[in-house]
Amino acid sequence: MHKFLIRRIAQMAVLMLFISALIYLILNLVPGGPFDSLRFGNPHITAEHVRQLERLLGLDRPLHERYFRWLGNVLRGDWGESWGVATGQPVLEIIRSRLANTAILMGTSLVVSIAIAIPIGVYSAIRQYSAIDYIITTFSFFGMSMPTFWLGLMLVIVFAVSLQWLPAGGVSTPGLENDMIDRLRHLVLPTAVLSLFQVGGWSRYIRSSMLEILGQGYLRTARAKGLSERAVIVRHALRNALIPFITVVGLTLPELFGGAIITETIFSYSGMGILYYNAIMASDWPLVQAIMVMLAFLVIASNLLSDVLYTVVDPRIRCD
Amino acid sequence: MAKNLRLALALVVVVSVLAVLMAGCTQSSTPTPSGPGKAAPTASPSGATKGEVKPGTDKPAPKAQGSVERITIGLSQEPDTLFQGVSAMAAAAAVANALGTQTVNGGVASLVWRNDKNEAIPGIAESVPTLDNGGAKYVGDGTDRHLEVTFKLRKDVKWHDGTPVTAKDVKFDWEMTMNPDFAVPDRSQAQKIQEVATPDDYTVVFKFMSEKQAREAAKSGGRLKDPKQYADYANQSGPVTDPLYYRYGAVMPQHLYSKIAAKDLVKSEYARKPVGMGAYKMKEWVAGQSITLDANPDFFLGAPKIKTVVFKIVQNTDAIIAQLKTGEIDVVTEAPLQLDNIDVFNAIAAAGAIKFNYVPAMSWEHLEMNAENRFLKDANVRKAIAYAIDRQGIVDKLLFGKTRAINSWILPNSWAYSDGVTRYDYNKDKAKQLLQQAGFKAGADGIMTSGSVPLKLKLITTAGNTLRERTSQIMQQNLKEVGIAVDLEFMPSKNFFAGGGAGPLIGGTYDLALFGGTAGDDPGGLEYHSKNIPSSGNNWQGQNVARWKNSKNDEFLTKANASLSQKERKALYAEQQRVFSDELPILPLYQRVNITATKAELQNFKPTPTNTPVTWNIHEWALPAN
Repeated sequence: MHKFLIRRIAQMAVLMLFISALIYLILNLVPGGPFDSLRFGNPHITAEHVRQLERLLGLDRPLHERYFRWLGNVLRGDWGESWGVATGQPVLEIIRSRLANTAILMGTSLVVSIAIAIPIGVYSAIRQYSAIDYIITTFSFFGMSMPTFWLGLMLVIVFAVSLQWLPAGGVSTPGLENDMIDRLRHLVLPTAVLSLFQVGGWSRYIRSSMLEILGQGYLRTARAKGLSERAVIVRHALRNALIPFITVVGLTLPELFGGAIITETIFSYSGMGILYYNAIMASDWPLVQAIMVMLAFLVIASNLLSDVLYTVVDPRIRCD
Repeated sequence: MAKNLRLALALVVVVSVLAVLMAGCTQSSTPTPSGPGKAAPTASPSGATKGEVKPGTDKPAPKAQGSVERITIGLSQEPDTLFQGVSAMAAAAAVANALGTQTVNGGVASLVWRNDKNEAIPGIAESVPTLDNGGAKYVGDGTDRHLEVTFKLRKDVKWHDGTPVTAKDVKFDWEMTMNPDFAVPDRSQAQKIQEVATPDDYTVVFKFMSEKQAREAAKSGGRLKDPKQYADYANQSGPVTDPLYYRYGAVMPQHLYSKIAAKDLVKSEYARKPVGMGAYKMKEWVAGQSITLDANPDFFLGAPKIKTVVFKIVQNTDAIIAQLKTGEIDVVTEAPLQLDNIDVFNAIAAAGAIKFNYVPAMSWEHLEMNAENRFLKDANVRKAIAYAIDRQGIVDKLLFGKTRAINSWILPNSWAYSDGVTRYDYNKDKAKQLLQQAGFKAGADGIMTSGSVPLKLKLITTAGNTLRERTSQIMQQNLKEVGIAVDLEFMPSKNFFAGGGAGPLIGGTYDLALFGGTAGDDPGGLEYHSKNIPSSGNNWQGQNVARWKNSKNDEFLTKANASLSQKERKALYAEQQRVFSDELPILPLYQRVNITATKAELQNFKPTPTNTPVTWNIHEWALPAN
């Protein structure tokens, strides 16, 4: 196990180095710098002015020199300063200001999704082809196939504009940032949209995974031992059915950091998704680089985490 | 293990059910200090007496019960920085103007303001100095002759920390603007000034460059230490002038900002918590969400009527409209509302609670025609394209008739606009005639050919802009009807506007390009001078992307931009517009419209037909409580 971890972590380091170089190169090869769009907004701004602004950001230096300087700073924990989203502000601080919002939204929807998907997936597997199974199946396909932007808008129209039960958007009411209830009210609609989508897919996943296991011989053995049906399902069937599910959930962990661009935009929920989008639109490369590198790290790390979790759930699997 | 799993599951279910329940059933008891969502703001009984201000406005005073304590303005973008010279964002300008921080000329922190009729009115200055009233005059002889503009400052203007605003702050603002370490993109006006003198605390004299000084700067690099930035002055003849000479000058708090190195200023706390002199003070900026300002009772034109202004960042047009309907937002300014949503606006306006304002914008849409293209170099082909395109039809169909088709690059509401231009009203027959005159014959497939080459062009525009995409599709159809084949390409703005030889516009590799243009406060127009055709020879300088050369045009533009007499300039611009419309390097399409929305009862909301943000008179706004 230790050997496995050390090997994987060494692989990760090499991979991260490679990824960071790739991200840096691709972004800096995009035609047009952060100031190119200025030119057509104001006839007084000349190419010479643009070059002067670029000099202030050190963009006149050769690419490889810039990359190694950036990499060196990052390794020391300095991710640089924003160029366009919040000019002059440290990138880390900008990310920190959005990260909590995203983690709360994505975390809530993750918990809600798991909490709903597992029971209904299990139930519809046990009662396969029953009326309730059909209802759950219909609901799942509805959830999976509804475009989030449409569903989000509909929820806003119904619950915010018509019924006025919930706020139409935002993280909190300005001035009430520390009010728990106000925050929860703002969370309801975006969480509903994210969860509905997730539950749809995940409950189908659990259902098919359960169905496969329900046909296995060892369940008959368990029942023959005289275990209650409940114990058979939960302890023997569900536990095994959850193994592949862990990979699926593990892969969504980076979303806790990355956020959901569409949902955040519809509900103007200030999180990492909108931040990432804005950073790209503003050619704010230091910010984009930081988000992309951190996301890449999380994808790799969560893969490793799923692999390790396998061994916990299924003792037959060993990592070496 | 199984027990743990079950326990964890149960916990998860309980927590999430609780969360949903709490969120779902507490809405009636939510404490709403200002009533967002419920428009039940507390009327301040004392507000009426406190808010007694007469800042030279002739509008009716608010109703007796005073104004609501707090309004929320929706912003479609989060400001990048509140250093206005540095930011080019409309959202930043709206906030900076309410704060009265260093801002674009004509904003609140300027010596001279612009009002909703685009008139120059005194701001921090006591009056507007002009050549006619003696506030501006030429001094010296020969190559030393130069323009001096003297501003007298009001003595009752104070920074938010109580320090008086003085001539030092004006001089410091200019010095910062001219500091190469301070990332100001546009120094074109500041650069013309050689020296700022402050004979006393409340007098500022701007001394523009003389011919000698200008030529010297082009050699030595002047204050910016960069001869390239002064290249235009190498052959300066006569004193350097500026058509907007009477309106230059803004303030920055010298007593605070001068303690920080210029290159660190944008990184300092003042970027997000500036000290201004405007009607509101910065209270709190919650990154990504909202910016809250508190009234400044010591504002020199009187305390504002509304105590708290919240700028709420809502980055999505549908969300802004929804929040306007629910009352979470009271005012929508800057750019998110567009004409393609007009049926939605009309439906909302019909309900009565919200009012929409449509004001002609300082920007316009146009079709650039690359004069270096083998077909488009012939003016007859360009004119044929103009006749073939149904511009009024585009305005009626796509913009619901809320604006007008235009015939000149100078907008109809400018003093420099001339009616004596050639008009190209939709006429297919004329278009075909012109193409025949240019030597084209109809080919077998209906496409015109010259020799054996079919008249095929590519029209590019920015991707993701529905209005532009639809406009270009109508144009494609229109042009096909007269035998011009057009391919459309929608490209990301980044690529479309890219600089250097690789950009289609700057590099000159396009045929037809549809995009927007912004008119300055002064007509200007030197971007259409042939010296501003970008090429590898001049390092891709300039914005004359139609690549049109005309010596008459060059001459009129140069003269019009050197003169300070509006009468003389008007005549020169009329001549220039005649030549321009006759040769038609660019087909103007329509003037854009700025749409703003407010609660119907909001008083003194005066959007301007200029680039000044609507918050220019925010101290006068009042929203009666009811």
